[in-house]
Amino acid sequence: MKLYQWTTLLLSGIASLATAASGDLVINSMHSDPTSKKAFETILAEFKKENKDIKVTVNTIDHESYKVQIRTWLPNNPPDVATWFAGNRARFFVDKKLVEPLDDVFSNASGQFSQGALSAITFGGKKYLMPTNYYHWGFYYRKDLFKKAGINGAPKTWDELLSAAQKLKAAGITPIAIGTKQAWPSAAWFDFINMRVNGYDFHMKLLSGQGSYTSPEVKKTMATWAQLIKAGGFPDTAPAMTWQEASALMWQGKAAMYLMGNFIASEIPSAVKAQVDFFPFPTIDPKVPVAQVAPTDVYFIPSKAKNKANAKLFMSFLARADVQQRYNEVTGLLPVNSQAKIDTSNTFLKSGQQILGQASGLSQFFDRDADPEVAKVGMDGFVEFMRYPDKADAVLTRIETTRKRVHR
Amino acid sequence: MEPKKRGWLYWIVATLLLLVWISPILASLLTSLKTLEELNEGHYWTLPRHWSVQNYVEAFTVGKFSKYFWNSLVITVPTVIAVLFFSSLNGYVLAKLRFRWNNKLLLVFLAGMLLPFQILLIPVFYLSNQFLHTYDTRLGVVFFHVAFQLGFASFFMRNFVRTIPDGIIEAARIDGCSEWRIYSRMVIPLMKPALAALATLLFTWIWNDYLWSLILIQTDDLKPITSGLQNLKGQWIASYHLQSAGAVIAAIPPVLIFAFLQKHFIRGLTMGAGK
Amino acid sequence: MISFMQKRDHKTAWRFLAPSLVLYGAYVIFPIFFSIYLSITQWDGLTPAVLPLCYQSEESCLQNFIDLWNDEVFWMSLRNNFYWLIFFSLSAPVGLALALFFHVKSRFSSLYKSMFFMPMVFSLVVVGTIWSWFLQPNFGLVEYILSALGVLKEGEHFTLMASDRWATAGLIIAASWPHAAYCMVLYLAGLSNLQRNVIEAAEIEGVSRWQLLWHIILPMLRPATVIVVIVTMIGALRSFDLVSIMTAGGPANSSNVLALYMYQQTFENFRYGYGAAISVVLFAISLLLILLYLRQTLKDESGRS
Repeated sequence: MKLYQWTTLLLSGIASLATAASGDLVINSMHSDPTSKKAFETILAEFKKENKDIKVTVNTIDHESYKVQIRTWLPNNPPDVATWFAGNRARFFVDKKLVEPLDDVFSNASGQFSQGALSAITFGGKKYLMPTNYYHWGFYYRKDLFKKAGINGAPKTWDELLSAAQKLKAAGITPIAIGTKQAWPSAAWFDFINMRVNGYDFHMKLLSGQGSYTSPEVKKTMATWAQLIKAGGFPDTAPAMTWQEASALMWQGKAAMYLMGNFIASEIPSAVKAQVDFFPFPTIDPKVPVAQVAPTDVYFIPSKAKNKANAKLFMSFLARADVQQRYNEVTGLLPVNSQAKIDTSNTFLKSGQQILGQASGLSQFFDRDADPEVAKVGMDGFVEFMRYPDKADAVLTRIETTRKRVHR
Repeated sequence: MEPKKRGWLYWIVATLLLLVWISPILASLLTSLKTLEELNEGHYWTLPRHWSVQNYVEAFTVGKFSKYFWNSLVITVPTVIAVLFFSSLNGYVLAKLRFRWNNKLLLVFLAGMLLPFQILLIPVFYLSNQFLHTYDTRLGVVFFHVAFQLGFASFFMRNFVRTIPDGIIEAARIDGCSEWRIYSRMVIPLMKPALAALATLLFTWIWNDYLWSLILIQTDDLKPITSGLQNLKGQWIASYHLQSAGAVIAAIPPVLIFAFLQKHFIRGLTMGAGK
Repeated sequence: MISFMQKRDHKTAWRFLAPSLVLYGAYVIFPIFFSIYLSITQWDGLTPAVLPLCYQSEESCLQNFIDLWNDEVFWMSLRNNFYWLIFFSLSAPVGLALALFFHVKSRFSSLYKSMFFMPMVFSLVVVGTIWSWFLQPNFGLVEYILSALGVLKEGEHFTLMASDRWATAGLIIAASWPHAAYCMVLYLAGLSNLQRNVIEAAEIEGVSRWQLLWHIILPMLRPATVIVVIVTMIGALRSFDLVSIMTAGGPANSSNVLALYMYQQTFENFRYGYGAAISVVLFAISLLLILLYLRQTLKDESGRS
């Protein structure tokens, strides 16, 4: 081939490359795993059936990548609808005026969302996010191993948890499984102990940056946590495993309990399913009302969206009880719309709905409630603390230094 | 250097070495044949309970691989061709022309490799979104890759063009050949092994790129195969079995390219410069 | 005569280089300068306007660098990068050995070489996962083998990757594996460029194989070696993927490296300015090392020709 032939070929190739797609409703989603994707496709098919004239385009990427990508398109050329997390992580975008308020959508659905759920999506008196599902956290445990170690029933108080841990340890079983290769599973411990020791309001104030991490209250939280660490409650190999890899300890009968979110329920192998049960995080101080951790997934409309009318239509659709019900029948999570029904034969979901319904307050999770940077320093610190519990003060000082710089 | 023929002992050693060398890949082949439940139970090294290629089928469909395959080819092939062309030109200039800026430009091309490239993500995004208007097109990704790979490729070609004896080129110049003619009729044929090796490397890198297409492309229909692979990862649950199967599928084209091009690493030498 | 030739060369040089320089300038050089500028700002990567820290403010423009100086994670990452620099370079001789070993004439050798090239091609996410399973306590392959051999007693674990002192060693081993394959390709290309007659002459003179390698082949492979050394140095300083996949810098940042720390600050913590400052430091270190190496190389080259 001659050079000019190559050139024309190259140019025609370039022309075919320079095409971009568009649509009447563009949705960017971070729910990429097969189950979430299927759940979304189910309700999307229904939306398309109800709105035949709207051409819907969905772009899906996994949520780690999404967190990076969102900062390119959100301020510049956003889709019409996007997925995100509730809590402080959303506030960051709301404060920068990148999110469209949804009060009109919610006025049509009043009374269908609990106050606890609404507080996580309301900023400065306005509602910005559409919550579609949340999930509860608590202990998943092996009944057979508890029995083997001579423990009667699930622990209800901190002392019972400590003594259960000691009995399991004596029986040669790792009391509590945890994997901290990704640091976040350690933060669940901080969230729960801090809420049980110092109460929901203190916890939320601390995480929003208005409290000191070196206060006596937080030190008490760490001291409580240290009791369990020093009693040998956790495997010392935790930093080399992800939460998922560490769960094998429990399925193989080497560990007895796991503080985890309900997404673990779908991963319990069929061979041990009958032996696994759930109990909520025990009380520590009986005077403190019981709050829970309930991370919430949301959808929102970017303020620069091109098809806002269609996007609002989609939001109203997502708010509906029947839609949330069908969505979460596939996800295996809890619908936020309180009129949506759940599969009551699923005992994990049932206990989840129960504890979240009775909770005095719902937090999102350490890294969703705290500033991202404080959260990062905090979670790395917790991993270090779980290895060297005597370093509590050094860890707290480091978090406090970061908090002071971020929230000055 | 002329390769030699070897005896059977050599091949036994080579095979053992190979097995150890690719053991991580054998392990992922094993993983790709298991169910997630087996892996969640911690059984990484045992044989699968049931032999099935179900994971490959699922990875292919869930990851939309058939569509992404095409996009990856459309991005990778033009990029590799363009980089080979431009970098061989640059390599010739930097190695063989009497040119005051030679070493300084060599350093400029190297400097592009020194910054951790992740910091360039957002500036390059703004460049293609606000100024060049190539955001969310495959062309924008091609442009970027061509530019970015030029740094390494020019450096690479410069070092190989240097091995051509100056005498041949001087002789051609005295015969009145234009520089373009020297480049296209003498340097390129002599550089075939180096170009084949460079093409292999470039193909692999661009085929495996994920981060840049993530930043420069938003629409699903235009994404390369690496995003299909990435999408098999959940928010909480890592689908090791599907990811391994997807990785095997995605690795086929670069390995084929290597198998095809590596012959030229060796054949090129027979016309070597030892005349 | 000479000046006429040089003028002609100059004109050709610019004509040949022009398209590359335009593309390279726009996509690489400009963003590099922009990033260097960002290191004196407190940009979050979202808001459009970016002003220097000291613009109409009390703050020093170098505040990010001052914070960096006081940041213990930065120093830990820097230290780890130097470990990388030292031990990662061992993959270069491995690559050379592989290239020499597989530089044979046979129908199979093509298949074997393709197989050895595989590590470079395979998805790093999966490779990283498999390597962490190799090295994992409880269920890892190394632990199984060590237990079977009796090295690990009952109840003991292989805790390399859980250790805040040794995790980096595991990472470097895993990363050297695809990098050795890369070096092998570079050396294979170099070997095919060798001048046959020199080697044949040496063989006729009865030079031993070791002397042949050391005194004849290696010097002739020098152009390839320069490439290998530079990409290895850069690879060690910019190490990112496998660290992010295998430990995410943990336990508690003990295996972090500068490129990953930069990424975490920039994209997880919304501190683009701080991330840019880390990049600038890394850039400066790399530039210094490369300049030192390159100066020597260029001097040698001009000395020879």
